[in-house]
Amino acid sequence: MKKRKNFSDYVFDIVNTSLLIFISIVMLYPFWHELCLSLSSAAESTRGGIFIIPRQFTLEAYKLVIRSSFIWTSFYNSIYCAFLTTVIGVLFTSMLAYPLSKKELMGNRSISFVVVFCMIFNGGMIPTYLVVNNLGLVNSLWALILMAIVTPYNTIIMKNFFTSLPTEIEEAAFIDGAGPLRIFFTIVLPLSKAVLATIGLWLAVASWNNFMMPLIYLNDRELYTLPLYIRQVIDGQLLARTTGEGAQSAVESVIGATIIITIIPIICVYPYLQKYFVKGVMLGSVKG
Amino acid sequence: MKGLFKKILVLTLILSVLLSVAACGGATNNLSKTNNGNQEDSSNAANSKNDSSDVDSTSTEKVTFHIYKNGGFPDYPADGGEGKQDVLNALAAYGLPNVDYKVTAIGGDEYYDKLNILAVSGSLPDYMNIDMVTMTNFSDQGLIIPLEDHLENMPAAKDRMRQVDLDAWTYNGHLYAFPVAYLEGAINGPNTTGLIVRADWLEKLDIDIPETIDEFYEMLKAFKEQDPDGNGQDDTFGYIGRDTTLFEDVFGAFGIQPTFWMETEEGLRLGSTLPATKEALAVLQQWYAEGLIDPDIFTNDQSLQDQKLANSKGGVYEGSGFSASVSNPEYAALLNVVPTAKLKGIPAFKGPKGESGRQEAPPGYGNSHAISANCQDVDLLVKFLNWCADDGENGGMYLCSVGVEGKHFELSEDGTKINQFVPYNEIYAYGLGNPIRFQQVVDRRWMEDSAVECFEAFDGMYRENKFWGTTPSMLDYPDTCEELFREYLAKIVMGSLPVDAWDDYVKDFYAMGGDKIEQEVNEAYQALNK
Repeated sequence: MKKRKNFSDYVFDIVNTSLLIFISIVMLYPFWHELCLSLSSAAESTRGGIFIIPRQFTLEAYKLVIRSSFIWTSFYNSIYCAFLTTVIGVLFTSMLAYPLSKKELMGNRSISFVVVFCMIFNGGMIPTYLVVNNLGLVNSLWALILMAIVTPYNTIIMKNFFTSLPTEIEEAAFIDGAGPLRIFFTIVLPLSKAVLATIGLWLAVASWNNFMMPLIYLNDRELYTLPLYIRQVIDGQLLARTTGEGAQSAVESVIGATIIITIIPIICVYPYLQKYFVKGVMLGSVKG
Repeated sequence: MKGLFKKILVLTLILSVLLSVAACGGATNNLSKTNNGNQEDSSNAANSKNDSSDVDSTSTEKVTFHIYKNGGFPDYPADGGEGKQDVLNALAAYGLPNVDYKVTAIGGDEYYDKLNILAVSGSLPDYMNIDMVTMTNFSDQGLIIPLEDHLENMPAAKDRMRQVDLDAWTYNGHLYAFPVAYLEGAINGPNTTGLIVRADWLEKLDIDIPETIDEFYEMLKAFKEQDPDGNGQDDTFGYIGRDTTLFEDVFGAFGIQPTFWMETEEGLRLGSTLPATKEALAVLQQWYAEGLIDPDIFTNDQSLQDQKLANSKGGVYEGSGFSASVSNPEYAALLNVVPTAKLKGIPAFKGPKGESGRQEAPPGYGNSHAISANCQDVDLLVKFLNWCADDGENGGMYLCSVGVEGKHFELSEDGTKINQFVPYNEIYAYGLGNPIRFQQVVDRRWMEDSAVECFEAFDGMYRENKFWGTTPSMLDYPDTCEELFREYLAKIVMGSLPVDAWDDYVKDFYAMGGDKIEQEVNEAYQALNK
């Protein structure tokens, strides 16, 4: 039976809605500000202030950014890395987490200890660089992909999920003659879409936003990813200012346009995967 | 549903395997090209160690120099663009047919993180932008080579370098970096900054350009009180600036620069520890209390300073002479709001004892380069650098500076002006200009007349720093020489500390390693001047 709302319920709803709208605006405004800056004239974007709508609307900043062939190269590299990191990462993480979820596995505790140990202690930037260099991976996109595919945190999240799956399903499959590989690929993975999507999204976003690893491991400009490109744009604008060799474009609007262009793919994907993201947060909190 | 999931899984796996194979195949191709002495450059995992020059066995084959630039060049093509062929043709005509180059550009402080990592792994590039601290570290470790003997082989650059720059890049008796060279003339000097004033406000309020600190004070008061923007509101300040503003002209009027090493009877002392600093701080505190200085001056960044200028909130600021060029974004923004606005550079004003002078630019114009010990053909690289600075027949100075004559620029008949047909970023996109300015010759003949006037007004207005080098204690106490002073400067000027707090600052300075730094600086200075 539906309860009738009394006065205090209405007050609560109004306050709650107003508060959430206010928080949403506070969260959304930085993005809106960048969008307005990117669509405003150089003069108006330099004048700054609060932007409700773009001032002296122009697409000049976008023309400047899109004209560079470099942005498309870095777009391709970023998509390439994000896609492969996600696919290989989800596969490898699940293949590590699944056996670890089986308590009867010999050496389970030792391997789990190693995984957790890596979570707390790592080699540091320079030793890691030397290892990657000795593997011949420096100046290759594979340095970014292979370094990111398995992380202890993701492994633990996934292991916890697998632990929570009813063992009876696997036992039934085993009695019907399925081997461990078949059980894993045809029973366990299809039942774990939520965790796979969550880990996949985490890996994709982390790869898309990664700045330090491409900076350290990549040398050639044709391998640069989007974060490196954005940094080039910002540094280019600052350098132009120092040397007086500007292109009559405002620093703020060019940076705004670059940011908008580069976050479009993530914005397109995010709403569809958001529900998994929420589930993913719950995964880490209630299962043990 | 399960079937669909299985199909997607299988397809994704196949795709990832195919992409992996493609990536490995690509790497193999690149490797084979390099091994064959092809002009194409190495760019893959397998030969990542070869960040040094690829020297081939015969002299007619290409030698590719790997060059690291500290800067952002988003327009510069990954393969060097069309401009690279122009450069290679000019090099061939110049007698250097076997030179090739590959540029990696990284901006900001991360550039030095990257260099340090490359240094640790023994894969420094052949030639790289370098700063003073990195030069000191790398030379101690033998990672970069002494250059004084090679300087003789690059006459086109050497004759235009300043001795003070060469001294600054000399460490332990050896030159470790090539500084930039300069064409003659006031506009081509290393110093670019000074005070920029709203000349239209001066005209409106009938004020002459201030020559003394008292006249400057009167000007600030007029800007504050006489409503120069004519909006009927008390919303203007005299002095605007940003977090890096050091009030150079005010300190200069008292005969010092706080972050410069000054000559005294007891040897070199940091300007901020000399009593004249206290006098300047007292003046600034008074100006701030009277509202002549923008209250946000210590927290503004560049964009907030630009906003204040564009919105006519201030009448004078420390800026680059380039900002007096009408095409500069902040000037253009100001003109958009006030079409009659005019920015003008002014000479440094004099203090009570007739002293003046703002900070000279650090040596090298931020574009000095070192050669790594990995470089396999230093002689050829030095010849290449000489080509970069040569404005004679088939020389590369113009290609490295303003592009191709007739296509990107033309020289005036008397050779005093460069008329550019395209903006600089198009020259970079073509593959020329700053990204390949490996041995820069500063040439600003392309500037607009308003910027030229500004540079001429700034000419000769700079105070010398007696010591530009880095000593070990400066690395041990990185905040002592500048950050500590900036902290006290902000607090004293804003009135949260009394002017007498300067005495505490001096005590803190010496307590935080200042005594060691001062001693080392004096020893290094004496060694340099023996």
